[in-house]
Amino acid sequence: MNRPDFSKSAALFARALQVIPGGIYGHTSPALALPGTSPYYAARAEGCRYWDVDGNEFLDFMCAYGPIVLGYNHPEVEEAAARQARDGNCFNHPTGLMVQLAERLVSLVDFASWAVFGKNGADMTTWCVQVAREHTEAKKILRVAGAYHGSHAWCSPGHGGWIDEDRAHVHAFPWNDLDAFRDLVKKHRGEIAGVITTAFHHPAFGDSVMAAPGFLRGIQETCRAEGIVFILDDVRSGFRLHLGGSHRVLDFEPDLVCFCKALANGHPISAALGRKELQPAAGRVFLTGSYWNSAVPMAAALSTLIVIERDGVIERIGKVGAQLREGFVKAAAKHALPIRYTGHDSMPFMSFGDETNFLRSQVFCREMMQCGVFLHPHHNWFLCAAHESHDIAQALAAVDDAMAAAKAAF
Amino acid sequence: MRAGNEMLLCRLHLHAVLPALEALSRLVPQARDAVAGANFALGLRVADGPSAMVTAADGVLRVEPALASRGGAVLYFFRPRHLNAIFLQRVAMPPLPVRGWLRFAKLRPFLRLAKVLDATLQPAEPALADDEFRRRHLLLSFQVALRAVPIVAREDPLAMRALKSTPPGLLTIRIPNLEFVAWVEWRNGVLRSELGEPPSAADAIVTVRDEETARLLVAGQLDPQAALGLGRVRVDGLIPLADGLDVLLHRVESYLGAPARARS
Repeated sequence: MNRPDFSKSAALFARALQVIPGGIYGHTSPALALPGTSPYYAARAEGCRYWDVDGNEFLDFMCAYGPIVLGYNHPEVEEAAARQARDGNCFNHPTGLMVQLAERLVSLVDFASWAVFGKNGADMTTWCVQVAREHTEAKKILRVAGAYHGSHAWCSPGHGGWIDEDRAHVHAFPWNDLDAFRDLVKKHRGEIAGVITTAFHHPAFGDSVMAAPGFLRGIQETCRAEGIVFILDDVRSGFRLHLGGSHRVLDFEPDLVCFCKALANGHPISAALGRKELQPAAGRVFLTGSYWNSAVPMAAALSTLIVIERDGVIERIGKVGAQLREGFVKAAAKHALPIRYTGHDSMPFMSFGDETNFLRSQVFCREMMQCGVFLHPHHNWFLCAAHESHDIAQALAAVDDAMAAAKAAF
Repeated sequence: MRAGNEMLLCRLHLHAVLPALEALSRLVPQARDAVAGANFALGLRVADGPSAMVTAADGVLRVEPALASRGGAVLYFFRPRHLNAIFLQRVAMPPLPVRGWLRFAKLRPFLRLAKVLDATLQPAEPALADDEFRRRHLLLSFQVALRAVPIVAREDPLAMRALKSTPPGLLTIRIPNLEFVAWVEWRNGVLRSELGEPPSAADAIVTVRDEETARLLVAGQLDPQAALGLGRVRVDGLIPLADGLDVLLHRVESYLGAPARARS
């Protein structure tokens, strides 16, 4: 097998080091994804494939870490975005698209009566925390240990750049441990503004874990009883589990929900929606950014939502995701390798059952990448509507050798 | 460095830097010569703080992290800052000899060793052009860092904070062409480190590609994330464990590195 050539990626990275701290930072840092085996810089993408700056082609199961839900460069979405771009993007005022998009989202999310917009998931999770505090006049926030809610000081998984005071009123409880959550509520009764959770637990460097029966509903009931605002961080799973928010398939109802990634198929926009009774507080929490009213992403979001609904995208992604799961499980069994295939079929994660240190996963993903299939060893994967059965077949054709390599390595 | 961390710096000097004398006395000809005919026992004791004992006999030098109950000479430092000033070669009053007055004449080899140690750990740039010297500098620097990480893990607030979100496991560091192997284990709230092969299979393996990369990392001239992207350092396995150790090494650097020495 010919190993992909990454010389142009490497050259760009060397240049980047002169002018960018660490060369590439954040979740796309090479340090996190098998440096030397995966490309560092992308050039173009189409459907469920992308090409790096060296011309290597990859069948992509990361979908830009989530935003690509319809496939890269989706013609309808790009046409809608281009049409708006011709009229303009950034103005002194919002455009009518902002109203249209808010109306559309409010019509989709059953409990919501209003919507606001930002650019990134963390814009919205952080703002929702502020709204919860404004609404309750309390200061404490409960969150699930190890969950990701963005890179702001109160929640960043990084070690640097925050002080203890940033998190003095943020308390964590383990996922699926309703008793621990209730104990925290009891301990801080009257001081808790909000609790924030994802729809299911999908930490980096860990298996995904679905909610135990009654867990999210239990949080909801406690929040209602105690006057605590329940925030659903649906940034990663939004529009992959249900068009109206992931709570719809998980039998609970939050007070606020945050969307981002899949909302506009790769165009920069995030949104938060909430209950009517939170609207006054939402109006009092200052919210803005230089590009937060940009019209092009709003046009793209409106188009994306149309396509998702019209084409039954969520069901389609679930089906190809199931094909991928079945194929991987079968290949692992053939090699007598125990695996844990966790999470929702539209955004699964696979690890090997006998290890917690990812060594075997890294060998496996390295082999898959050598075959042109981009999988991440430490972060959940994403499927999109552009994945067809023949793409899954291509991935499954590579998986046998990759499982063999993973088996042989230890 | 914050004033409140003088005690931590003092412990680093006594329990991470001073023990490098052992390796120094094996690796560096001048140090080996100094130890060959030496026969002394010197205790360093800090008021309400740590202590250490350096002994040399039969051509072997040892450093222990506590005073022997009897024998040898003992120097008393009035406070951590006092000892730190001596280690950093700042103007300070001499320590108070409190035991073994008559044996102080035997300590001349120790003074020679201390000078060689300082020159090896904090070399002038031209000295690094010598291959052998550079290797010794790197080996001793890594050994100091290895001994220092458990100390910062116990006492430095930012290191302790980083460890709270660091998964448990065993990490091995390899620098093949320096023949350096060491391991760090973080488990049950305790961080241990040792030179040599790990006691069991590692959860994370950090491989430094070559001596030059090691030198740049020690000198703070190569960002660890950049080194990973450039392929000069490779991390296999549990990356968050390596990430936690990286924070600890950065904390060690903040106490013992050249900028910290300049500030002190």
